[in-house]
Amino acid sequence: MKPIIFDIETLAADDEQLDLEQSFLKPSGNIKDPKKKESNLIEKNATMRKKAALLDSALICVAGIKCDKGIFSFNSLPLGKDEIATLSEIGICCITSKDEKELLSNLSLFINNQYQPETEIVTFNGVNFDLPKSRFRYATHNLPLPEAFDSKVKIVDLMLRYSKHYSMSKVPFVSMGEVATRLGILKDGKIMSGAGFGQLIEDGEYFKAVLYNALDCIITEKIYYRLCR
Amino acid sequence: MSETPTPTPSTEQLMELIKQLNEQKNEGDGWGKKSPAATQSNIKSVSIPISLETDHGKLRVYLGFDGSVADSPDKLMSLIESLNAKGLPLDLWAAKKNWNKKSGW
Repeated sequence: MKPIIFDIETLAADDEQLDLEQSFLKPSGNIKDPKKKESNLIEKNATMRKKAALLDSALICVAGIKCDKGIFSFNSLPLGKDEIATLSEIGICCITSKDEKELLSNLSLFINNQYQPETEIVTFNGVNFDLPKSRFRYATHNLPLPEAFDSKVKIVDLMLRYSKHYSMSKVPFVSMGEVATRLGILKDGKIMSGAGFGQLIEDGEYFKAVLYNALDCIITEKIYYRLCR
Repeated sequence: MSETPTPTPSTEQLMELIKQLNEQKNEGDGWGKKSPAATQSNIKSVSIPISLETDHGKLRVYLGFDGSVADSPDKLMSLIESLNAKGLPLDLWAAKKNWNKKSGW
């Protein structure tokens, strides 16, 4: 098989998008009391805004690929020339775009070019996040999906594989850092979580954001070779 | 993506970790399986051809790089892809129709 490691990072949805998402919220069906319904909605709204980067409307700002051609960062971040050169020196090829639509177009060109019948898309929690999220963003921009994102292509989700076949605890959500540490790939799993990625962007730490995503791709590949080969 | 924020490592820590992990080769990583000494010391330089259209015809120009760019397949391919992404016209090899007599660029 020819693995293509895929990992995306998203920006927190903006106020307009959050208001739209809020309009779709409904109180839990088992609550009858109007006051409790209202407080349930307030609670749901707060939770949704806390996880604004995980919403369907949140924009993809980095899509990392690791394949036999190297590590690639498709991003829409305002990186400097020196930063791009430094990333290149450590083996990360940056393809910067002006916005999410251009990012997705560039990603399509690359993935379609790499795609072969024996390709498998390898992700960590990609079945429930990276792939549906990406498909929706392609649809939003009215762009054709890369061939490899079609539902017929083999998708390997290492998080699901680990929890189903390699762990007796059967906990469905386990962090990449935890799996990598348990497997001895990392000495400690103190890797920043995806939920904290927005803070890097808010702080203007774009270079670090690309590094973080590339690191995720590298670790995902290491886990893949342990669990799937 | 996990949902519980943890302390963020510094940029230097991230770069060092990437370097360390890139040095650990996976099974089936092509020439990465050979000993580092055998692969890193022999290559002195790498030349990548590009093809330029001039008024007088096509001109092949070689861009020279230090041999360290070929320390690993990933690093070399990344360089080639970055040149391609910059729009440089890589001089790609293509078999001629009479390939059984003579191959060419």
